[in-house]
Parts: sequence; C-alpha cells; structure tokens
Amino acid sequence: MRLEIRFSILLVISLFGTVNPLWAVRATAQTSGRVQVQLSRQVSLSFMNASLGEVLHYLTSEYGLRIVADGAPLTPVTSITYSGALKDTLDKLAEKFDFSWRIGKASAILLEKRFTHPDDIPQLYPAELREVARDILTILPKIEPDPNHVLWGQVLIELSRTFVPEQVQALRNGARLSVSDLPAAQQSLVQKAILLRGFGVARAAWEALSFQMDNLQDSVIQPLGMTPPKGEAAARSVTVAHVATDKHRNTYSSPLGTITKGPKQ
Amino acid sequence: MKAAGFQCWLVIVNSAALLVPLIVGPSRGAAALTTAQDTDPLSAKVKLCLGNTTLQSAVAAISQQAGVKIEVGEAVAERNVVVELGEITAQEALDALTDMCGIVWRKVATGKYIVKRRTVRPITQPSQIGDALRSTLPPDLRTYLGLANWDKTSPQDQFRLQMTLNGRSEASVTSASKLMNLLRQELQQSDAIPFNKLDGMQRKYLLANLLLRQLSRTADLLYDGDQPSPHQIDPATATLMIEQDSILMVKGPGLRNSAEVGFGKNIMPRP
Repeated sequence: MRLEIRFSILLVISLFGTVNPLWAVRATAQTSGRVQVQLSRQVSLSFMNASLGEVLHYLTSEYGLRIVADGAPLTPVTSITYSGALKDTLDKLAEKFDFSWRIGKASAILLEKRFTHPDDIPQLYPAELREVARDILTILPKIEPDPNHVLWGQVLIELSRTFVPEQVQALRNGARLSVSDLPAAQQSLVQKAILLRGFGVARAAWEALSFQMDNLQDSVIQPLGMTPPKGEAAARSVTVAHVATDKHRNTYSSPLGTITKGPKQ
Repeated sequence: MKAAGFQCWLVIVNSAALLVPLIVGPSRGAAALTTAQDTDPLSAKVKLCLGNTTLQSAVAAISQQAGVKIEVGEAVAERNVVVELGEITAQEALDALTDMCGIVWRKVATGKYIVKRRTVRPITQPSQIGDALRSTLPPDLRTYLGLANWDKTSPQDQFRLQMTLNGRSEASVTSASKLMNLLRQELQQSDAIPFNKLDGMQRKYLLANLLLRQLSRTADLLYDGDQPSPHQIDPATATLMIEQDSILMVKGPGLRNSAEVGFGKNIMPRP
C-alpha cells in the first residue's frame, strides 16, 4: 500500500514536469482561440470610398482586432458593404484591396499584398536592396563573376589541355574518368567549372546590383555615346542608361531604352 | 533494499524532468507568464493605432510608449506598414510587426533592442541555394515572384509559377519603358539626369528595373535551385566523358535516383 502511495506521488511529480513546458503552448492557444472567437462574430459594415487604413482602424476600434498591413494598396479607396462573420468580412476587404490575410504572431491579422495587378510592385528601398544584394553575395559561393556565362567553358577547355595522352585515349574510347581519381590540379579545374557554371552569372548579377545600390546617390541617367552635333540634319537613336560610378571611377551601365536625339527645332 | 534504490532513482529522474524546462528556460511566448513580467520592459502596454506609417515610426511609437530603446536597421526602416494594433504589449507589437515584414527583433542590452533583417550565412551544400536565396528576399517580393511558401507548393504549381513569372523579367522591361516615358522630354534637353533629381515614381521604376533585371538572371537558382541541376554536381562523385566526339562533359548523379545531370563544352579548337 505504502509503495502505491509513493508511486502515486512520483506520478504526480512526473506529470508536473511534463505539463510545465506546456504552459506556454496553452497561453498561445488561448490567444489564438480568442482571435478565432473574434473572427466568428457577426458584423455589419458599410464604407464608401474608404482607405484601407480607415477600414482597418474601424475593425480594431469596434471589434478589438490587431491588424498590420504590408504596404499601401494600389487601389487607394474602395466601397464595401457587408454583413456576416468578421472572418468573411476580412476576406472581402482583403480582396477589394488585393491583399490576402493570415493570423500571425501575437494573434495579429497580417495583410499581405497579392500583386494580381500588373502595375503593382513590391516596396523597393535602396538601403534594403543594398542589404539584400550583400546577403545574396554572402550566400553564393565566392567565385569569379561571369556575366556572359562563358568562363566555365573556358575552364573546361583549359582542363582538356591538361589531359595526358592516356586520359585522351580513354575518353576517346568512350570511358568515363572519375573526377576523384584525377590529379589535384585537374580536380580543382572541374570544381571551378561546376561553380562558375552554376553561380557565375548570379554572382555577376548581384555584384552589379550591390555596386549600383552603393553608388546610387551619385548615379545618373544619361544617353550613351555622342549627341549629334548641332546642325546635323538627321535625328539619331541613342541608348539611355543608368550609369553608376564609384570613387575609383569604376562604372556600371544598365540600359533603359532609347530616345531619338536630333537636330534642335 | 532494491526497491528503495529504484525509488530513489525514480525521484532523481522525475526531479530532473521537472527541472529541465526551468533550466532550458521557457520560450519567448512563455516569458510573459513568469515573474519577469513585472520587470520586463517589453511587457509594458502600448497603444498603436497609427494608420499608414513607416516601420521606423511604428517602432519609435513603441519605444516612446514603453520607455525602451529600440533601434531599427537602416535596411528596413523605410518599409511602409498600416498599423492598427490597438492596446497591446510592446513585445506583442514587435512580434506582429517583425512577422509582417519577415524580419527579427533582438535584445542587445538591458532595455535596448534592435529590429533588423535576419543574418545570413554562406551555404554549405549547393542544394541549399534555393531556400537560402528565397529567404533573403523581403516577403512582399517573394509573393510578387510567386515564391511565397515555395516549399509547400506542389511541383506542378512550382513549374507553372516559374513559367509565368520567371523573375518577372517582363516587369523589368515595363518599368524601364515607364521611366523612359516620364524622362523622355527631359532627356532631349539634358545630357544627364542625376538620381537625386528623380521624383518618387521615377525612382520606383528605376529601382524596379535594376532589381528585376538582376533577379531574372538568378531565376534558375531561385525557382529551380533545389532541383537536380549542374550546380549541384559533387566533384567527389562526378565523372568526365566525351560526347559527340568533341564535347567534354561533366556529369553527376541526379538527386533521389533522378536522371544524371551534366554540362559540357566543345573542346576542339575552332577551324
């Protein structure tokens, strides 16, 4: 009997130890449950030419929702009249402004853009793009940038020139050479070719964007090449480019289009 | 005697089970339930009905109302958000805002916090490239490119998204042509237009063009980086062979028993 009591005490201790970390989960579930209850409430609303901010402010003040939306909608105002569950109201509202929504951390309703309209584009800030470019360059293997996607081919040609006659003969006879059996110098060339083939263009692209963002404030948009001299009869099509230059006079030009420059009227 | 020893061990094991969560510590969510609530500056209530604002301003409002120092990384400071959070703790507000923007907040010292982009590390396996690249993009850009929840998207939908969006390369062209239309007249009269003379809309089109042009050149890695392709060839298992008499091929086994992948170059000198 005494043994049973002792085991019962141990069981209680065990359960306590197991349940303790679940407190946090329970607290989260309670908050999540609260927002679910809020969303099932029946509501009735009517807005004429209201901005997203105005409608969201109403939903927060009237129904206690916590809401954050990412960016301004392409459609600045809309009209909406709806009666039904708050959840369905959010669906309608989000669709009107071309957003989707989800329940995020802290039980907040997070509205995210859908970009179904071709004129809608994400938020773009030079400081953020600069950091995105730097982060991507951190992730990519550190190899030579290859904007024209040709260096890997040159490396394979270089590799082929290092083959000894036995290797050439074996390859011509249809044999396969295991890279791991090659001399270190040849292995290194294969490795270089693989990395250049896979990541050379990407590295060039993000180095270019990083350069452009680093030197954006001093960059210009300008026609490239010679402007036709005064008095020249014919108009001339001229490429216009965004030109970024650093303090060492390194330049990166990105073509934007063409304009016709010609004799002044 | 044996039973007493066994019980003793049980007491030790169970006590350890009880202590583990206390030692490891509760998650951030559980922190509010501990006695630290009274001293945690982020447990202070704030009221945030800010409407259309920037992340910098929203965080400044939290900082001011909660009486804590919160720095915002330059990269994300200008992000535009509509904030209607009502009455909420400072920690919940930071959680909601950072979740929305795909960023993080961290404690840097007592009463001092920072809101910033996630820190990235170089990949250790080529197969990680797709995930790693996608995670660096702001969430709205991921959605724009059809890359949101990519790992939960079916292969068929991934293929469709890649075909239709493919880095939104057409939007790069469209933004350039919109910018040119806005600047055409000025370019007729001027030899160069400095960036700092561009208005908000012109800057937006320029940045869209510059970003999307480079994104489209990385589309294969963004959309297809997880699939078996030449960048995933491991030199340890790769082989060399000659195809069509003159093409030196580098070949590697495909992933998960898929077909072999490879690439090659004609190594014969041009006549």
